[in-house]
Amino acid sequence: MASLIPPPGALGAGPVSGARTGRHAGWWFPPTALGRVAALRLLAYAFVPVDLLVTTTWVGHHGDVPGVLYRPVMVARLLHLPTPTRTGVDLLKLALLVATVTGLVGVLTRATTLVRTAGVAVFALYGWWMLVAMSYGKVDHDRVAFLVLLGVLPTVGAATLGEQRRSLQAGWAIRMTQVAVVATYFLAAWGKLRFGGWNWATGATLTRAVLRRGTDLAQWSLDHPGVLRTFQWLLLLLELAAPLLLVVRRERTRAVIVGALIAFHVITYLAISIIFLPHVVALTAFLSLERVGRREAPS
Amino acid sequence: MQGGAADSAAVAAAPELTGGARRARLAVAAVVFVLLLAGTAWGQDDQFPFGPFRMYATRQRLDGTTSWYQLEATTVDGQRIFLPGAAYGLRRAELEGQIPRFVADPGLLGQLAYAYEVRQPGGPDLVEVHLVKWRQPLEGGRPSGDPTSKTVASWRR
Repeated sequence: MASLIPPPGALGAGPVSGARTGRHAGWWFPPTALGRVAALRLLAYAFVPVDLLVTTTWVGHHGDVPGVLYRPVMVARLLHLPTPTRTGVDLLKLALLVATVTGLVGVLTRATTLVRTAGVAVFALYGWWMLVAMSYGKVDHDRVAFLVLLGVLPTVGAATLGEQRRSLQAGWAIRMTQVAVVATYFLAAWGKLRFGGWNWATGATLTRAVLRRGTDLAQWSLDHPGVLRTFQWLLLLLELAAPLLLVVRRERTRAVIVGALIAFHVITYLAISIIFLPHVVALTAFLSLERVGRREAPS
Repeated sequence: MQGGAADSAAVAAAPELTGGARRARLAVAAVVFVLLLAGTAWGQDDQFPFGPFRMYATRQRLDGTTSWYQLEATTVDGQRIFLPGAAYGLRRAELEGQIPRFVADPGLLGQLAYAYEVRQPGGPDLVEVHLVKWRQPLEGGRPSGDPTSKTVASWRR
C-alpha cells in the first residue's frame, strides 16, 4: 500500500534516518527516493538544448558582438575566460549539446558513470555559457536555482526512473535545489526592498514593465494603475512567503502550490514576455517525480 | 496497485553517507547560500551568480517619468529604420546597461553597425546609427500624453 511510504522529509524511514544525523544537519539530508533525481536529470538535460536552441537564443548572438562591448562579470575575470567570438561561442554551444545528449543517454541506459561525468561537464559548460550571457551589461536572475540543480545532480550515484529506494545523497541534492528555488523568490523580494525601498509596492514599477515590454494582453492595465499596484503587493507578499514551501509536508499541497507558481510564471509571460523557464525546471524538485516511470517491483 | 511487500522492498534504504561526505555537503550548502545572502545584501550584478536579484527591483515613481532606449539607423538610401536587439546581437537591457559608454564614445555605435552587418548580411547598408532615448511621463501611475524621443548619441560612417 502506498501509505507504507513515509512522506519525504519524515524521520524514522528505517536505517537511512541515521543516528549520526544531527537534529539540524539532518534537515539537509531528508531520505528521498532516487527516482526523483533520475527524473530531474532527464528534465534538466532535456531542457538545456531547448534553452540553447529555442528559448534563450540571444546568448549565442553575443558571438557576433565586438569584444569591446564585452564586460566580463567577476567570475569570468577570475577564470580568465577568453572574450567570446563567433567560433568560440559556437564551439561552446556544441560542447554543451554533446554533454547534455550524453547525459540523457546515460540516464536512459542507466550508465551511472557516464551520467555523472556528463553531468559535471554540463554544469561547467552551462556555467560558462551563463558567463557569456551575463557579461554584456545586463544580468538576469532566473538561472541560479537551475545552476544549483545542474551542480548537485552529479553528486548522486545510480538512480533509475521510478526508483522508490531512498537515499541521503538524493535528499541533499533535492534539498539544495529546493532552497535555491525558495531563495530566488525570497531574495528577489529582498532586492526590491534594498533597491526600491520599503514602499516599492506603492510605485508604478509594473506600469514601467508593461510600457517596456507589455503584450497586447496587458495594455488594458495601463489605465488601471490600482490593479497593477495590487499585483505588486501580491508579488512582494508571495516572494516573502516562499520559504513556507519548505515546511509544507502534504504532497498534494506542495503540488498545488507548485502548480500555482507555474501559473504565475505563465501569466507573467503572457503579460510582459518574461519567463523564468530554467527556474521552473528547478521548481519541479518539489514534486514527487519519483512516480514518473514507476513500475511494479518484480515478485 | 502495488503490494505492501513489494513497496517495503522498494523503499529499502540506499547506503548511508559517510561523515566526510556529509560534512562536505554541508560546507557546500553553507558557502553557496552565504554567498547568495551576502550578494543580495551588499553585492552588485558583477558578482553573478551571487549578485542581488534586482530585476524590476527599483521603484518607479507614480508621477515620475519612465524611459527606455532604442537603436535607430539611417540607411544608405536615407531611410530611418528601427534596429531590434537581435539585429545587432545585444538585448535592449544590455544596450541600456552600457548607455554611459555610448554617450561618452559614440564611436562604439559603429561597433554595433559592424555587428549588424555580420548578423544581417542581406540588410540595407547603414550610414548612421542613433541611440534614442524615449521618455513617458506618468501621472498617478498612468501614462500621461504620448512618449517623446531624443537622440542622445550618433555615429556616422
